[in-house]
Amino acid sequence: MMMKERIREIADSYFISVTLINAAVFVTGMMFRPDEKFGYEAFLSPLIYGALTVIPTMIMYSGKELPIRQLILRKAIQLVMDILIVVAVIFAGNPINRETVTAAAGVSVSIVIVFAAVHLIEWMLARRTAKQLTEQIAAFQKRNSG
Amino acid sequence: MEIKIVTVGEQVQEYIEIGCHQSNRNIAEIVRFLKSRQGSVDGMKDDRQYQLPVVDIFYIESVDERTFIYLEKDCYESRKKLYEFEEILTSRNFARISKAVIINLMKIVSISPALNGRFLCRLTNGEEVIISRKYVPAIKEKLKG
Repeated sequence: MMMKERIREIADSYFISVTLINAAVFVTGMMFRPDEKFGYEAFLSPLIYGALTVIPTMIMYSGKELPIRQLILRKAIQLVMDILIVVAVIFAGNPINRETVTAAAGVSVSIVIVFAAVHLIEWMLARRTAKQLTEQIAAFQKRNSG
Repeated sequence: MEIKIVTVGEQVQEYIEIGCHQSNRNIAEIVRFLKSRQGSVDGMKDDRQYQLPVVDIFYIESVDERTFIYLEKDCYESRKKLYEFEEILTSRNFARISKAVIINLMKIVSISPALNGRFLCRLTNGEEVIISRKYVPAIKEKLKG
């Protein structure tokens, strides 16, 4: 895959992730700490978490076209790394107690949901590209038939 | 048999139409000849060499440094390398869709996303072939042309 295309792919994934992380932070925040107040710096957290989740994507990247089984394995490792990184960043220094574990579990679940949603959106975008290609091919065939 | 030649306008695609009571060996021979006039490539099968009309090729695949030409039902081997076919056929309706495959764009029915970020194209004979993402921009360009 060309570098330009790879960068575009990562950027797409990043911005979709940031949007969904925003929604996830809202939901988990309302569940665990509904009265918590933040300053403007809170707007940075989805951007930072989004950037953190890009790191495993870059580590797990392969220039080769992987078979489905290997791809699923890499995605699973990527998801585990995402959870470990984000949970470590959020809860580093916190005492390990029931509240922290519950909140970490909530964050982990929201990361899984965001991860799945990012892939679903990417698949929908790919489906749109596929539809455009099919239409372009039909037009091409019409032009060149005979 | 009457032979008619009809002149058509520039805006209409040129065509050849055969009117017959039923298709037979003679008709098949005429069709083969007409197809070969549109270009053909050599292919080997069971130690016999065949002239394969370019318009009948579905795709050409390179596997372990061997090159195979796929028609609707049959597969032939060629001594030519994939890049040589690419040079010959890109001026026709063919495009590279992955590292190992060149496809006849006229044989594609539809394209759908594959699970692994690639695309799957379904051909008129029901076969499915993988399109690498890397080649999608080039395919789009070709389709515009």
